[in-house]
Amino acid sequence: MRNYLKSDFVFELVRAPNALFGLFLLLSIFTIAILAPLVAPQNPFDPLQLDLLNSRLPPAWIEEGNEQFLLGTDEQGRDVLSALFYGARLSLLVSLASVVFSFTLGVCLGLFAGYFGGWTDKIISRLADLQLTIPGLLVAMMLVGVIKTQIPPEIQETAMIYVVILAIGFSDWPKYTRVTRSATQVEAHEDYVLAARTMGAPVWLILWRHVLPNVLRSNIVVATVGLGIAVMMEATLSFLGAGVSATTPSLGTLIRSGANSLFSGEWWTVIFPGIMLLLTVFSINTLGDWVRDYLNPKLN
Amino acid sequence: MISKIIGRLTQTVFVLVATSFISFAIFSFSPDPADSILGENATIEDRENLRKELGYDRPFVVQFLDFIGRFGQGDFGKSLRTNERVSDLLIDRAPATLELVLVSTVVTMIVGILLGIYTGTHRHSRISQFILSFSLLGVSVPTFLLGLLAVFLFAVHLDWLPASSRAGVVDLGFWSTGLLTLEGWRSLLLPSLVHSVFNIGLFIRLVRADVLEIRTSDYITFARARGLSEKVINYSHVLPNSLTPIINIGALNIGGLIAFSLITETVFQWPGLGLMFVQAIQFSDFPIMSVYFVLIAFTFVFLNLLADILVGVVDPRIRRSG
Repeated sequence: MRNYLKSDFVFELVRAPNALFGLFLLLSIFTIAILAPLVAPQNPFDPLQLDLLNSRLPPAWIEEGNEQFLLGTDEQGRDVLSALFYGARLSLLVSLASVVFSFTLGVCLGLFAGYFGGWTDKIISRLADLQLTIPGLLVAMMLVGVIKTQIPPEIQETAMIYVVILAIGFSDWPKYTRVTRSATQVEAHEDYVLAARTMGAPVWLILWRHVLPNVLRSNIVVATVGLGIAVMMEATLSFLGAGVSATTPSLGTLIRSGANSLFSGEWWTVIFPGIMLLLTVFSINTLGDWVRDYLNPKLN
Repeated sequence: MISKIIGRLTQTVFVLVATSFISFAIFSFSPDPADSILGENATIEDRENLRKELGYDRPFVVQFLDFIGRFGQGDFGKSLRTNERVSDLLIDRAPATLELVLVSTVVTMIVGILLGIYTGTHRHSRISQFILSFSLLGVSVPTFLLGLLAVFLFAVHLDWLPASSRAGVVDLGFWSTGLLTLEGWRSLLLPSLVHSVFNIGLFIRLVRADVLEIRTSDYITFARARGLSEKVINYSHVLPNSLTPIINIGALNIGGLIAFSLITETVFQWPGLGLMFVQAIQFSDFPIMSVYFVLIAFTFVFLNLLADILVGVVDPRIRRSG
């Protein structure tokens, strides 16, 4: 840990106020998301805690507001602040899981393509090219649209969370594959890889122990950017009604249900989840910009 | 050169066939539509007749070839929900989307190129910093959120512009346009601006990055050494060389504007192709889903091809190589 604090990474980070702010913001959001059941004033999943008499209340600082509900309530009497915490929790969970999924899939395929070359490379690269032709959002929407119909309605609410993770994850793997493939092609001809092969190390060991650590660096940049995209994609999918089911609070579904009451002037059900979404994406992007510059000093 | 063209065409054909196949797979692995059309009281015989009528009883490969054949003739089947012909729906919906995309493209190109080149050539000025923060904000704010905020501010709160969807439409027989009336422009203004913001932000950043890269190249350093003024360097050295990347980015941009119109259209209830697709996803209307998918994929392929040709036209180095 002490060595870590002395590293270049921390040295540079402390001197970049933007990045530091982004990191601080992101960590706060993560803390809120993880601790949501403990810090939220209300459990938005529990119907017993909802009271229709409390519905459509504006935020506490407006005259008709109630101190009990700091950011107001929606048409079911649900506390917006609590829904926000739970929504951020689900959105981050889905985004992180989908990044892990596309990272794993993309890096594995990239390693195979770069290391084996030949037909393996050709097939994987063509598939990646093919998918890059089509926008990720469209791929994810198609997957959700198709898989949704195969799920029995009883388990749909829970299952849709996994479907969305899968769909977002699957829509973003080619980026990792491209980066990994070209990095692997370089590494595969390095002496240490040849040495490992001469000693008879099995392929999986060479890829895992020798090649993978050397291609991770460029993938980290892709993953940071990818997390921002995933958060945005989850919200967009859920907003369009092609994401998690409407009863699961994610930032997207909250905005979707809030949008219905926007025309009657109840702005708080849209604005606050919107701000939360913005802060999340903005902090990830700021951090991502910095990570990219840090790992690519040539650009400065 | 010829081998390059052939390689490019093979790739294009591959993408076209592959996307058609995916689209067909979506179409055919979908659950038996007989259930949703016939309802609960249908007999087994009714079901068999309907399956035969829809052609679902034939082998997979035959269905695929038939699918491509019908596609070529512009026959995309019928919507599972409304039973309308998909080709009619497309013709009906296309003008709304294309006009939205057209206006947004013009806005994006003009603003994006100008600001991108400005921020690239005036790297350290205050205005550049401001534009760059704006562009970061532009790519960070999800379009649907921006759209909702715009609707709330300009339509509900200030009541300047209509929140209703497409209005003032004049039917020209083959095309229904909203560009001929003031009312039409008023209804188009907010959606097209909202639709442009993300792409403007992206465009500025990409163009700036290219301009910056070009400015570090040797011939620019040499031009400086020759004592040329910054103005001459910017206009006769940087600008022509940044055209190639701008064409490529531009092509992707137009594709993006067409594909992502589904978000803007949902927010504004704009009756275009995108809204049709979003509704098709919700109602599992597979024929519409698969046609939209192919349509977008083909658009991207076509735009990329067009960009490649244009780049070859403006950049002689690319024509000579390969």
